[in-house]
Amino acid sequence: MTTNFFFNNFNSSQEQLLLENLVIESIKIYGHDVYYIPLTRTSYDDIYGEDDQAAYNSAHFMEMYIKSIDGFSGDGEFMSRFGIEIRNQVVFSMAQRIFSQEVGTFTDQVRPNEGDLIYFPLNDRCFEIKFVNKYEMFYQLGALQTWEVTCELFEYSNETFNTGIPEIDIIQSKFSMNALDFSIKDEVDDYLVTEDSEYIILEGKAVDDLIPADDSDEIQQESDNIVLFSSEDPFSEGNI
Amino acid sequence: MFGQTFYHSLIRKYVALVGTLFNDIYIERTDSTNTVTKFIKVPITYAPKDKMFARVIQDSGLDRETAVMPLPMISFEIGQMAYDGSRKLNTVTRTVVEDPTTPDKRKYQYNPVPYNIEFKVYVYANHSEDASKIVEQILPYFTPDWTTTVQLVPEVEMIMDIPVILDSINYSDNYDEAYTKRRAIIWSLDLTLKGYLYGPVKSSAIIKFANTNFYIPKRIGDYDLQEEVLTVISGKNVNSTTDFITIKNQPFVNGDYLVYANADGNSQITGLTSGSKYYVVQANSTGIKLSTERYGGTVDITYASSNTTSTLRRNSASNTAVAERVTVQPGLTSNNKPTVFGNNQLFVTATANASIENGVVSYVTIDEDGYGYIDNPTVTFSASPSGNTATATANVSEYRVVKLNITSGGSGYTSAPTVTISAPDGVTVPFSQIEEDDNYGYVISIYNWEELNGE
Repeated sequence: MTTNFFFNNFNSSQEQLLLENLVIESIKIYGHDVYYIPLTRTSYDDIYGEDDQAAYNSAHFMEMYIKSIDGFSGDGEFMSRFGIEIRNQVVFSMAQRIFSQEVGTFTDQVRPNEGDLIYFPLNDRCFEIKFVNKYEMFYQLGALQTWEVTCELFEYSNETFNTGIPEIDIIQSKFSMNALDFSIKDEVDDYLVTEDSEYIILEGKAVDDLIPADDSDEIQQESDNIVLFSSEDPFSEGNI
Repeated sequence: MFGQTFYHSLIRKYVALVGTLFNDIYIERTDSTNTVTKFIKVPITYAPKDKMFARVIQDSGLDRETAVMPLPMISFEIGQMAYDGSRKLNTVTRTVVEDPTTPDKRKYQYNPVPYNIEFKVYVYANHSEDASKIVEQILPYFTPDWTTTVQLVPEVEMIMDIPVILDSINYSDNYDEAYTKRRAIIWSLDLTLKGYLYGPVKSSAIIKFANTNFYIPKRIGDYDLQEEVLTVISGKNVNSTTDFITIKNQPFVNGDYLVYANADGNSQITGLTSGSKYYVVQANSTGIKLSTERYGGTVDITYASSNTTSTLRRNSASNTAVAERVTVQPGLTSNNKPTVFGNNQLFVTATANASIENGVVSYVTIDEDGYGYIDNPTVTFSASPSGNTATATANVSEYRVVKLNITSGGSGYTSAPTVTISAPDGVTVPFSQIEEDDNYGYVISIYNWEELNGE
């Protein structure tokens, strides 16, 4: 037994194309322009399955529809052991054809990948794709027209941003704890080091000044007054 | 309730101490050619913070671009505190230091109470490798403790070695949850800090003199005098001419405290009173004399011919433990600080006799060398009836007069003059007359409590 041939509407490519056009047009009408920022893997670790050298080297302008019409979902903003955490989630929907045209053409991606970012200009934030749903609209007229991506506010971990979009690349300059950004190089672009192979970091460029939640300086100052630094304890850093 | 407000910021110092163990950690990220591409400072934060201030400071414009502070990062928090009885110190022992602002006073503080303070340290990373790089830089230093020398209470220069012990390590990675759940890689380090909590720093004046009552045996080194009861037969043992009581192998020494008693039905030795207390004086191996005062003059025994039997009883209780009072000598300095006089010997004034030849004092003889001399005493002669008065000086050694030097023999003496040697320096002063600022401070004599109280 098979389905009735006269009522089978799932093989009509013209109708499928029409529906896809309508979806794209709807997103263009009701959606928002965002930047899609693919993650570039440069040093993938097969054992741990991660890449601590990951970089974001390009940004692709395209439209997406925001499904979270009532605002962000997720856990929101709360106090944790690691300071203020902002766990805002947002769900975007994008047309598959537009994604292929605007992103896949340049990155050889056939779909949005988990780990890629979406910069949402209206909110001036980057959201990391946590999950991609291929089956948002389940085979309407026999085809899939959209990618639905569930995103969460980006969790920066000293990745490199080189997209060329200042609003996006500012994340690195604001939050990077890479001391080499403030280190001195020689004429052949090698870092100058001390006799102890320590990098020479520009004075007044302490990375801890960048992060308001970092208590390194305050703890150091407090402990300098109590930790004994003398012949009895030559290895501490106190100034007693 | 306890009457003094104080705060040494000790718990805050312990927080800073734990924080400083982890506050300067960097990790390197390298590319496929092993070239260092990033040298990342790992920020550290003390986790418990005021929520309102935290949000205002960490997300001041409500526009922060990142969900958390840049990872990896370390946070730590204080936990449970528990009294550690195994490190308890003597409660009444004090630490005393000079008070630089008021030299006449000393600051002191009683021993602290030991507390074990638990801390939890969290290493939070986005990459397993980052977390491993941090943890591997920490763990080798804990064996399982890391000890730091810390100045806890600067006021009393209290410096202690504070061990921080690594109790356990836990790894948490919720990689196996739904995709919409974030992955958090967290190493948790449980630490125990072996700390102390100190009480208030107090101030007190310097002790310049001491008034101490204590018990010492009358015989130094003999703490277990046995009770002795000796029988004395007056006509046989007692010499009424010399007042000497002959006792073969007698056990007494000068200063012993005896009770005389005549046997029932017998008459007592004339000069002694039955039931009275007498002190032994001029004791030697063959016998003793008795005195009504310690080191005083001998009792005059006037009749001892009849063979009546009496006893001399040395009471062990009264002889082995006697309350003594310590007095101090004013005006002494550390240069002439004497040792404690031995055998409870009191100050004794030296005496001497002079001889003359042709009206001139030719020599003097020390009859009694005395005791308690610190400085050389003065020697005076009675005035010559028709000439110059003789003069002499005295030398002292070991608190006794050892030598008299005639500096002038005088003239016109018709009989030997009287020689007077000044009293020892060690004149006791009632404590009520000693002022706090006087330069006192040395024990120079021990007086018998019984004598002081007329017993």
